[in-house]
Amino acid sequence: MTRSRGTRRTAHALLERRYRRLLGWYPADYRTANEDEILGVALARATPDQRRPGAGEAASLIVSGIRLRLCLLLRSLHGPGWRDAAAIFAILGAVLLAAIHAQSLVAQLVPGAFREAGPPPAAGIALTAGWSLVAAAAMLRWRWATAAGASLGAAGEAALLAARYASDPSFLVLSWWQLTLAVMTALAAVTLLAAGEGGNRPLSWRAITILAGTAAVLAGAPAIESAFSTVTTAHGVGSAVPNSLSGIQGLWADGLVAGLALTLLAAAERLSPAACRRLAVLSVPVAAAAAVTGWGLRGFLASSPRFAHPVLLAAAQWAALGVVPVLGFAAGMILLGRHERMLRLVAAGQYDAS
Amino acid sequence: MSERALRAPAFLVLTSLAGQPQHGYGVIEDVLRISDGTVRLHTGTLYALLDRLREAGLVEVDREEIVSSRLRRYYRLTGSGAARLASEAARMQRDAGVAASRLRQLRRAGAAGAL
Repeated sequence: MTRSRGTRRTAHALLERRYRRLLGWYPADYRTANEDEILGVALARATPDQRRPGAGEAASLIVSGIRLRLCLLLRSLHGPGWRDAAAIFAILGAVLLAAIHAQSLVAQLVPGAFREAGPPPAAGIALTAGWSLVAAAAMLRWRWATAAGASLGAAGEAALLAARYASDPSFLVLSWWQLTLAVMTALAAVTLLAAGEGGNRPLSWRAITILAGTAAVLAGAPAIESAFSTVTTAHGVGSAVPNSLSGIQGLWADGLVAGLALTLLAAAERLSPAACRRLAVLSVPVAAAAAVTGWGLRGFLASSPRFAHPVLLAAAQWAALGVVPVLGFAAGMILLGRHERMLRLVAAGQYDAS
Repeated sequence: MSERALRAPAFLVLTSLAGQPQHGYGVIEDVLRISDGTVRLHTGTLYALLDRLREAGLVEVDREEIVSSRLRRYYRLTGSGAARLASEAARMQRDAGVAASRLRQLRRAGAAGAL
């Protein structure tokens, strides 16, 4: 009898623990307010020796939790935080992509430029013009045009990489961050569409001027580098040798991109902290893609061009390219949720930050 | 929610709360009884429904109790919840009346055809 009661108690504790785990699918705030009550009902329905929630019960809790999270996410898109962040990210992404493609075109025109070969000129011109139009549409808050243009642009970037992959896999690896940026720009544009009407002009005229200036410098970087290099002749063959200024030549692109990021900060002066945090989350996949290609696939980039026949990416390398940016975004969203929950608790006086 | 026809589970939850304020488990058991055993609400489904009905202002919390050191929340119908249930019941009654009358006509036509 005592043993049977003990067994039941163990079963009950096990069942409760499993139900609590299932309730983890619900948003934290909702759990705080309702977990005890839902748990009480779920346990009241259980049979005395039941150790696991029934399949139907488990499915209903998981589906309800996910649906509630999605509802909260959709509702938060209508708030100023996501709307402002998405509007600014759509502009910055489109401007940066237009500048990068313009840079490839300039590199093809300037003799002796220290740049990797970009896409064919026709594709480069189309992408530069396309992303410039997307940036203009985003600045003018033409939400449908921004979303359609950015989605087309992302598809164009993907098509460009796919077309060249078989003959030049390094190009795909080097350009992966651009594709990620294009996808995130399209995602931001679609988010803007879902957020509906409203919101102020995303950037001030001063910020737009700084942004345009930075984009122009970025696009003209090959010409600037070339101007600061000298041509020496060795054994009758001319080769461009960078002079003292070119100590930074390898970092030109990164430096200018960082400059663009600083522009973003300048523009963000007027942004709420919530929008800045979301802007950072939207940037995480791009940084993650750059990290994978810059560090994770450094060996591939060094060895692939040495073979007569190009060495293609292995399945694990493809997985890293695809999964790491997505994981980065998911981690960013989770951290954002936790951080803002903590801020809410601090504001409500229910959390001791010390 | 206020304009669309209520789905069967929402209608049954409102019907259950029309009797008296009830806690979650009470609602599940009552709905099973009212529906003659045909609608067995899962816990997740019940709370998703209650959340939607509360948001629509049709249901509200009546009181909270602690039973066996666990929170038990009782829900009750609001004024607009009662009005909504009444209009929904009237609509269903009307629809059922039309269906019954058409079936009678069908039977009469069948009988006349047989003659």
